[in-house]
Amino acid sequence: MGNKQLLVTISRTYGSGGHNIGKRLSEMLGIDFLDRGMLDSMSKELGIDAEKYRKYDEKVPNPLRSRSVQAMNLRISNSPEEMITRAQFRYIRDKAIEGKSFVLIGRAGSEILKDYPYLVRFFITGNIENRISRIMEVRGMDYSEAKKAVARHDRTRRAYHNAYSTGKWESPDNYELILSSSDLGVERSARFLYDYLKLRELI
Amino acid sequence: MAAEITAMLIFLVMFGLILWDKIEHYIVTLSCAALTIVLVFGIEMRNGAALLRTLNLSSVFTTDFWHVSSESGSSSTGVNWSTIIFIAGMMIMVAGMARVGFFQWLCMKLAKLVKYRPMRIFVVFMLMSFGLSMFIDSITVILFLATVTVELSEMLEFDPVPMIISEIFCANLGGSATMSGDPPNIIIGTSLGLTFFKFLSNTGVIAVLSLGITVVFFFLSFRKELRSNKKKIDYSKLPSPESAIKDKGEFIKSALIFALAVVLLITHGSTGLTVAFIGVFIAALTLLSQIKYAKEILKNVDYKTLLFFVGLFIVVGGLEETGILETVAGFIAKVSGGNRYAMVAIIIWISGVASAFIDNIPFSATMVPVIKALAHSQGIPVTTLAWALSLGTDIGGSATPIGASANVVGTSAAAKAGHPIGWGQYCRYAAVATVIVLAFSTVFIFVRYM
Repeated sequence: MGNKQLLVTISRTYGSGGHNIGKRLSEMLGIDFLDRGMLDSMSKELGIDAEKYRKYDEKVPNPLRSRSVQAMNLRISNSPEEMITRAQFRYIRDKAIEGKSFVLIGRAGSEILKDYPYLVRFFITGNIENRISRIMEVRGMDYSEAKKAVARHDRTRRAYHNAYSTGKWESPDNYELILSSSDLGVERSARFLYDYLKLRELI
Repeated sequence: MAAEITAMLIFLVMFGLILWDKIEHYIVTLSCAALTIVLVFGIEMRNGAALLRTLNLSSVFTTDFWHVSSESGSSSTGVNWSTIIFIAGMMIMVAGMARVGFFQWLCMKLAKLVKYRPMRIFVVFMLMSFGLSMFIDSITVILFLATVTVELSEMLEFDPVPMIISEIFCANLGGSATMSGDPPNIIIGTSLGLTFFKFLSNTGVIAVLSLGITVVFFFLSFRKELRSNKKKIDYSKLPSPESAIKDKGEFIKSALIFALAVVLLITHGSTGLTVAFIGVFIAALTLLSQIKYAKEILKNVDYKTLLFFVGLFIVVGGLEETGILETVAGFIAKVSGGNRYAMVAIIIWISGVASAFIDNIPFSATMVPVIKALAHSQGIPVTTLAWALSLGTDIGGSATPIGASANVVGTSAAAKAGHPIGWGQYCRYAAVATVIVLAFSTVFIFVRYM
């Protein structure tokens, strides 16, 4: 990779392998990989225990369990989900401002980094049956459990993205490239994205 | 009938949108107020006089608004401008105090006085939270207290969560003690023409006794978590209380203005000065004493909260004018079978449970006309119902992390510092304390007033 900064965001449906594809792509590019592990590095910087926040990661605030108030012209929310989301957005934007290159998984990346140059936004999905099979294999679930898990996680990711974005999660307008990984698998999908970045003359 | 249904629907939509929390609350109440004006007063009631009564603008230009000759004061309906002006005035005073470092200084000074022992800080901060909240908005009290608690917990290595939960509870309890402590009390007091001293000698007595129960309860609940740390801590490395003071001269002036506000509030029943007057007077003194920073202080006034109140009062005014709140009062009377004990218990416990989950400001604003109607039709002194409503809404708000604004600010400060407080952890202590104090308050009201 040259000296130019490169920011890659990957939104993904559950079971599509988007996370692994992103990780592989970051290895090929030799750049940072930001996923839920980001909490660990953030916790060191903020001096907090990452484990306490893990369950709130990439989730929308529950309106029945949290509230916001207006105080001294500040909007203060007591939702841990909102707090961790805002802290992650700051962390991600700080990395971008520092000039770091990275592959970011989820976290409404296509929206929060939209004003930065050298941004490429991917959406990885797959055939529903392939995604269910993959979850059965990786998580050791039966068919019905895996099907429910796929629906549940897709719902959570959609809600999170839509809560913090102007565009909708599945809308093609939000992405430069939408890829179904069902036939290519993880390795070849990552290779495909790598080649695409080359064609775009970003690497 | 159409006007009643429309007013009720607008009110329910407003409440739902506040609960939904996606749109800023002042936009919600102002939009619903505009709908009330157009649909309820304009199209359905075609009643300009009712609209003018609700907007209540003329009240501001009467002498009684600023100074009353009788001790009981005057009551009002519609937009409660006294509440709005008083809150704005106190916001200016608090912004001035915050700017000079008053709150950090007070917290650090008290921590130093008790030699930085966690258990002593725990008790002293509960008392301070209660005391300050009697005069200052509990949001501000917790905003500073929770921040200092977190800072001290990091330096002294103790868990800040028990302290923050106890401080929140005591802030809400302190708010119930006086007319200026909590927005529901200002609304109840100004709407019914009650004075600061009347609150202090009624809800204040119950709140102080409840404070004793609360301190014992939280002490027993958290004594293990707050045992003194065995590790040696170098106290000389802790920031001195004086380091919080930005400018000594302005600091002294701010403290004096606060003391004056306290004196004016305590004596306003006999001096005849209304809370609206006190708000304006204290705000003017604050701005004059820090004239160089007047612009900065005014920027800190939360206009959105004030606009929220204007919208809220118009929507509730719509309900009041259509007579639907009298129907609610009639329903309470029917359910209680005319039994006064049951009516008071219903007011206090329904207010308590409702305030645990929904914003207690719109709730109390709605309930004031209800208790007025109930007192009128059932022959119960309106003050008895006012104390029940005040204690129910103020104390009930402590039960859950979303019950009152102070809870949101406190739990948010804890989460930001790496201590997210879940519902289970919060309610295990605060909800139990709420039930104990509400039960005590109910018995006290039964014995003293009935």
